Amino acid sequence: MIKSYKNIRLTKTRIAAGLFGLALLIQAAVPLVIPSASAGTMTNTLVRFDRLAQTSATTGTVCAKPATVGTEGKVAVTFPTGFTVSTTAGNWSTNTTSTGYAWPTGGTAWLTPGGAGSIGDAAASTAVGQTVTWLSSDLTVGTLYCFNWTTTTGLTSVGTAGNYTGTVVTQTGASATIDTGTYGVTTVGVGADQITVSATVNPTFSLALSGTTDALGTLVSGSVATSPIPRTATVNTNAPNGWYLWGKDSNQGLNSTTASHTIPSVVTCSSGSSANSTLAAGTEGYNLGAVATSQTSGSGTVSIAGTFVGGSLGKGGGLCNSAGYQTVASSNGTANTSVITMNNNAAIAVITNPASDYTDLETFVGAGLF
Amino acid sequence: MFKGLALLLGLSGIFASLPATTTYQLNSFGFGSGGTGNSATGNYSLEGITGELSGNPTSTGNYTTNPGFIQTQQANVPKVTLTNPSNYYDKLKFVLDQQNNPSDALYALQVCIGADWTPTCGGTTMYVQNDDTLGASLVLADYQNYATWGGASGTTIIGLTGNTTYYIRAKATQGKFTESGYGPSSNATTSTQQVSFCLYTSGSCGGGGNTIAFGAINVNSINNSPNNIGTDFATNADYGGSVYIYSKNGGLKSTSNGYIITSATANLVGVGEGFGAQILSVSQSSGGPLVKVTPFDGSANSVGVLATTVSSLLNSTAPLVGGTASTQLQVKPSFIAPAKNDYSETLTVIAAASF
Repeated sequence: MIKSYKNIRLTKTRIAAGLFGLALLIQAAVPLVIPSASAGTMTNTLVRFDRLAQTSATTGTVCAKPATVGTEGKVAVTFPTGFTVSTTAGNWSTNTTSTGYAWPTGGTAWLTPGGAGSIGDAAASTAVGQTVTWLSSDLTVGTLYCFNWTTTTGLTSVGTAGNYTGTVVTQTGASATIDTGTYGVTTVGVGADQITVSATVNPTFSLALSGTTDALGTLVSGSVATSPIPRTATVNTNAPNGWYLWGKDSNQGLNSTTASHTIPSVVTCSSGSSANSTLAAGTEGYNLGAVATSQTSGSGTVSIAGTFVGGSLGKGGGLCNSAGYQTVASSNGTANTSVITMNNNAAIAVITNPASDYTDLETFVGAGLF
Repeated sequence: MFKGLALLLGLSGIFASLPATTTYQLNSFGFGSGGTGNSATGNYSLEGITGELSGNPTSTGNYTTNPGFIQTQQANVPKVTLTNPSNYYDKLKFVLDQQNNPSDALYALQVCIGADWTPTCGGTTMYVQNDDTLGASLVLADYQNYATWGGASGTTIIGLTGNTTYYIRAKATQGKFTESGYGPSSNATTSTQQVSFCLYTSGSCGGGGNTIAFGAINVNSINNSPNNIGTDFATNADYGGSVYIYSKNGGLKSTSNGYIITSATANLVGVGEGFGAQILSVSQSSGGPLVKVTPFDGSANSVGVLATTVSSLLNSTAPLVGGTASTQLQVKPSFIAPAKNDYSETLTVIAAASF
């Protein structure tokens, strides 16, 4: 009996001692191999607010690069404390368009299952407190995903300038967190994220004639003579309301000093205008026909005054002298190299006094309507 | 030799079945000039005795002594210093002090998040893993030598939480059964994720201003803005950040006329009309670098388009301090840009960082 008791006691002692030794070995020498916990932190997180001024309604962009393997079903963006976050899911429209949003290098469209509440939909899945949640598809670790929220109805920045933080969290469909990324954002004073640029564009107007002489040559009664090289008037102006080209002449016709005779430009010029007509061979007459030839650019449309509409041989109207300038052409807007081509036409009768000094001096002026 | 003693203390567990017969048991014994297969390292080997009973241990927060047997065979207790040298928000730097341990000594680092050890961790206990992250468990692979832990330059613990204080302490081992106790703790606090941004047109950030007035300009001539857009940008984000720009009208627009001197990427010398921006200078105090982004990186009269959509203006792929840039606007009205005194544009300049 005593022997048995001693055996039992010895056995217990050996077992206890063995366990003690094993514990010592474990403690002193060999840590157990236990897998480390997953970090659960996004590799990369960026949230860009399109306005940084305090108390500004703003759109923005969310980018995140998952680090942990999981089956994403949602992404929840928590905006900084103090920002006013609409809890109306319909105020959180999103898209996955990269063009025009300057996504960071490597950014790709956030994968979405589509449908109501998904990224790319007109509404979020939920919007509670500072956190807005959208439905997401499963994401690949190491890929930078981005999306944009595109309506300003969802978010208004905080009313105090400063540095703030928020989070982007990927979740499973059951809302278990997979990765969390913390972002920082700064807000500045009212209007301190904008520059107002102003300028005044000076008025400018130019009128250039292509020549100052127009030799019609020897006139004969059997035909109507016209300018061998029609002269042009070129207008450049930034007058927003257009421009005018006026003309007058010195003799109201072609006058010969030696013959004391004038081939008349108009029958009467007392009213300051004459009728548009077409000269006929054998009948004395002298007129100016104008055509709007071209315009490189400009907002204006050129109109030739009815009296001086040309375009065919002998067609036009007579310039006046005593009545002063008559409108030859006009435009209702700006002009870049607006060209008016002018033909002088003349016809004589068989009884027209011969002379070689028939002449007239035509004067053209222009101005912009600023 | 002293380490050998400590080793034998560990081995005492193996031989914990005290010598005995069916009648007697030897409760106190000793043997000399022993040694075990596990008692040698490159520098030391065991020649000692074991079997002495130990008394009650005494301890402080950092050290434990077990009177009754000699424990100096342990590795020397190392020190470690934790700092946040560069406004880090997700990492902290530590440097080990070996305390004369030999080069083959291995070190493990324990971290207490949010509180110090008094004597137990008042926060969450973690360990620095061999990938420099924190983990809840310490495994053999997390014991690394001085060089692997960065040597005199140290290394960083990564994956930390911003605005949080971390406490760290280290212990050493140099062969089995030689592990020291933890040394004194050191602490540092991570910063928050930070972005700093300032926009101005009056010389410097403090000067303020948010207007650029070209004044009266002539058609078909290239006009430089009389003052420039100043942008200051800094962030502690690991991946840096960008400054972006976008416009309201896509050009200088006459409110009364509706005409727009359209912004475009172009050399204004070769086009009839244009409006855009060109970065004149960019620099930083440290980090970065902050760089010009195409198409705003031209020279002379080459400008980048100020679109109504967001465009990158400046970029850095690393944290930076004191980033600053000066951007000039240039405009060339065409012959037909209506003469108006109400041309205007609103440029919005923003910044974001990649944490």
